[in-house]
Amino acid sequence: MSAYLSLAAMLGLAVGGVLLAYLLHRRTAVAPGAVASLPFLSGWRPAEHALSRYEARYYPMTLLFLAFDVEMLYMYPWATVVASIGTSAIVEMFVLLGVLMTGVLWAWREGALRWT
Amino acid sequence: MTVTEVSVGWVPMAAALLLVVAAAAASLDGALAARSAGQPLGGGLLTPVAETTRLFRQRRRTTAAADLPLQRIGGAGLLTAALLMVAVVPFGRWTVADLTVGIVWFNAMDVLVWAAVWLAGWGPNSAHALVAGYRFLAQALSYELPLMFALTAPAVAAGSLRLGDVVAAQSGLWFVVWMPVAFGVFCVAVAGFSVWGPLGAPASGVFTEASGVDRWLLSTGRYALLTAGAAFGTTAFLGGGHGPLLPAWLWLLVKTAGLLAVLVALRRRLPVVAPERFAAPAWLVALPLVLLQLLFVSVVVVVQA
Amino acid sequence: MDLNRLAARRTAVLAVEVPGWSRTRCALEEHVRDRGWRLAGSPADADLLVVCGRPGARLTAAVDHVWSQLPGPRARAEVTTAADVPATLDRAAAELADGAAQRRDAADRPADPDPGTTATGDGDMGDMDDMDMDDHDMDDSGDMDMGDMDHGDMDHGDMDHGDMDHGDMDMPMPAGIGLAGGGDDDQLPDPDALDLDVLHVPLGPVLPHWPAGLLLHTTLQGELVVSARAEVLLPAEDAPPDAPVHGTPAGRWDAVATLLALAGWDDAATRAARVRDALLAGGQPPEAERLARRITRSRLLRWSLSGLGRLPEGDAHDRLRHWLEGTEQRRSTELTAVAELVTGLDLATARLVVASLDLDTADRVTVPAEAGS
Repeated sequence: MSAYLSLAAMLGLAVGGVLLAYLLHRRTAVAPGAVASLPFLSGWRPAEHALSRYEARYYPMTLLFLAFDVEMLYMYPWATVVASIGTSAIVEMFVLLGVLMTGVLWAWREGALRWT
Repeated sequence: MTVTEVSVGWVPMAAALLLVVAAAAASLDGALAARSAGQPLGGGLLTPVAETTRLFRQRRRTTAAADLPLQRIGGAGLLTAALLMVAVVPFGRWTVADLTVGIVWFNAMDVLVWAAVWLAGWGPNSAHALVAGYRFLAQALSYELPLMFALTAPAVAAGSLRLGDVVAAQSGLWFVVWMPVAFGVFCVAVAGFSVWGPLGAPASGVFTEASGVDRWLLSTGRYALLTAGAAFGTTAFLGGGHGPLLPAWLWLLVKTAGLLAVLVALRRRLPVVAPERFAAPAWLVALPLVLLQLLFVSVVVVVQA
Repeated sequence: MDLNRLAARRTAVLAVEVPGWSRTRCALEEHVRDRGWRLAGSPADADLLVVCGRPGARLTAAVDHVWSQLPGPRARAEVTTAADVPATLDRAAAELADGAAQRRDAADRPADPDPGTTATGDGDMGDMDDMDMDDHDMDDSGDMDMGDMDHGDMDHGDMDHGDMDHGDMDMPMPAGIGLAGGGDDDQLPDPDALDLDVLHVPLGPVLPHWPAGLLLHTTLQGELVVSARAEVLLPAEDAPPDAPVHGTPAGRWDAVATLLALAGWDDAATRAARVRDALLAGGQPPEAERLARRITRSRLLRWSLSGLGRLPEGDAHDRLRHWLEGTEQRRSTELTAVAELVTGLDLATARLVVASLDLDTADRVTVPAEAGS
């Protein structure tokens, strides 16, 4: 439990440190407030706001990632018991990983890893 | 070597140590930059101090219709993630947070960086930053899985997710000796989540609109992540505090500094790789290789048991 | 004051080159390097804005807008000959170090952002009627076949008013800027029929490692350039340009330095710039050959540049090799060809490809590219 207390303290320290940096900066900068500016577009006014319905063309890769990422839930507990369970643990896990890897190869052939 | 947890009062010391080592990394980078520019190295060594002074004198900027809360969270996120990473790394015989799932914690923090970098790109409402934020996610999707499996290898070998046990398991042989692929992949991934060197393509875009303390937090966070990554890599693969003569904490520091120096030097010596070029080798070469590495480690562990 | 001196060690300079003043820009880069300063990547990063040459009206408008984006402490200078660079930088450095003046400057700055002008603007800046026109003006769509001349009137012909998301008063306009919308003809078909937006992102003239005066109007969907149109912004009329660097050995190393800087290989880029500056000073840098070998041998660089910007005589890496070996063919890339080459690339790759073309925009200053606009 005390480990998590330390982590909470570290988080508090990080947030506090950032706030302190902002406070210090207000005192040290040539002016405390921020400069209002348009975003940098090579010297031009933006034609529209950048925040938009952005096309992330690599999204098939995100699905591929998700498949493996869910698998990581099993991976970490598995890692601690490989030695005690033995061969069957290795076989079962690597059959699953093999299936997933085949999926990666299929997705690659379908062009999921190329988006430009 | 057993690792004992020290009281919460040592947390600020751990944070300060991380920042000091990160500053040393920035000094080295400055010195290397000075060398290639044909300048005296001494001036370059002052880079972190000079840059901090410059940025604390410089004003902040807010871009029109910016998403300020998210931008701030992103800006602070890098440094925060690095501090939380390093909290679970044993410093020789001591650790501030002796988590039973230290490796999972490190993994969770490095995924936090995804959000931080993307938010820092999204926040300013600027096309260059936005595109770079999304590009970082594409890069992250590619390096993250090899990283996760690389992290699993030491856990399998130690039979534990606790970093203290991982260090103890390396008393005879450092893990890097029999899992070099996992170590290599890990180092590439450290460059990835620190947006550094060959995997630093999105950095300049995400930094486009940041000035003053905002920029300071981003670049400090980047160095801190690199440092935390080096410290973790030392612990998981390079034997942590193991070594002759010197005390354990000093060994950890020396090894971390060495790994960090290599990572810093690589930045200037290598061109960046665009995220879209990086995807195919990451998924089709690094991922299968690190899986084979994991298979090898598992088989060795079972045979020994 | 000591702290200001310390901060000044890392002074970041945003350099703007006007077509015809590459010699001055090279001198600026050399002096920036020799002082231990560095080049800025964006106005937010910059302390100093230095214009090399005498910009024409539209270029001046862009520079003025960028000036409003420097956070401050800030200083601005214009330099027109290589010989003036050291004195100009000294003056600017003194201005930066003057705390009282910088605080006054900060206090005098308006609370609202400088409105600037749109990249597609027709030349008369600050005229509200024209601004409204610009907002409806979707002229960067699809007319890639156009050169650098006379676009002003032509674009109204093929403009599509079907999608009125810019400037339509019924739409919300936070900060006076419209929301992003669909791209009509430019839009790539989306397999999932999602309603996605495009962004109009002008590249240049104020952009690091970018050809002087080049303005590339791009339409982005995600990170991809779906359409582009190029033009060159002119210097002021009475401007006597520098002796050209382009086409000389120094010019080749300048192109190498620019391409490597964009490729993120800082060390080699800096060394290439040093070779360039030594050549400009009339020397024969001994390290040139070794550096050339090192650059040619880098496999990572070859891999990251191969296949980019393919022209009949080769790709970006081939051109880099030709610069290093001094075997490049003199050719002039048409602006329309530039637009075609970058279409379909992502933003970062587009910048690399443009750098790999080593455009000589100063060549075009005699062409009245801004006539009629």
